[in-house]
Amino acid sequence: MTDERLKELLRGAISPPDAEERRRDLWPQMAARLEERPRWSYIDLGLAAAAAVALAVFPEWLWLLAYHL
Amino acid sequence: MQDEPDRELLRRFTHGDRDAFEALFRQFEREVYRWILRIVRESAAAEDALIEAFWRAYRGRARFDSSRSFGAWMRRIATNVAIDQLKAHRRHKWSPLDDEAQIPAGSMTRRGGRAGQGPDSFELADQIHRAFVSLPPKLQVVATLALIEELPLAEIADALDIPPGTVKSRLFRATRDLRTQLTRVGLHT
Repeated sequence: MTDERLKELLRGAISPPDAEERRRDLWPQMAARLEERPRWSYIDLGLAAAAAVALAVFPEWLWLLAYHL
Repeated sequence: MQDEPDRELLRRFTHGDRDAFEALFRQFEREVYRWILRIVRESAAAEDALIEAFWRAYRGRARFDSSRSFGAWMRRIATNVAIDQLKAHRRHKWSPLDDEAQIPAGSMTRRGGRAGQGPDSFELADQIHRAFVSLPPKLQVVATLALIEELPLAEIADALDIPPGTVKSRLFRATRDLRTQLTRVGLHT
C-alpha cells in the first residue's frame, strides 16, 4: 500500500471537523474557570497527610522542614 | 498565524492582568480552536480543550517568554491539551461501532462509505477508523496532521515542540502500524 493510497483511505474514513467555528462565546466559561478555587488533588492531600503524620511521629523533623522552606 | 500582540499586553498578561488575558483570549481563541479541531475533529471536544488550553496558559503565564511568539506558545499548549484529550478518550473502552452514537465525544468520528468502493465500503471505513484511533495518541496526532491535514513536518514539529526528525520517525511508525493493522483485516490495496 502506497503512502498516497493510505492517505486516501484515511481521508475517506475519518470525518472532517464538524464545525469550523465556535457556536458560542466561550469567554464566560473561561472567566468562570478562572474564578474556580484551586482544587486539592489526591496527591496534594496525600503529601500533606504524610507530612503531618511524619511530623507527629518525628517532631524533630520540623527543623529540617523549616530549613527546606 | 495571527498577528503578535503588543509587548505591553503580553507583559500585563505575564503579571496576571485579567483584562490582558481576556484580550489575548479573544484575539487567539479562533485560531487555537481551529488548531485543536484539526486534531480532535469534534467541536464540543475542541471547545473543552480550548478552555483547558487557555487555562493552562494562564496558570503558566510566568513561564512565557514575551520576546517569543505568543501564538506559537499557545499552539504548543493547545497541542498538548488535544493529545491529553485523545489519551483520555482512549481510556474509554467502547463497544463495537455498530452505533454512531456510541463513539465518545472527542474521539475521531468515522465518516464511512467513502473509504472504498463497493457495498462493504462502510465496513472498510469502520476498520480504517478503528485502526487509526488505536494508534498511540502521539502517533495519531502526527498522522492526523501529516496525512489527513497535510501540514508540513516543520509546522508539526513546532506545534509538538519536538525536532522534525522525531516527527518523521513518529510518522513512519504510525504508517507502519496502520499498514500492519489494515493488512491484518485483509486490506492489501
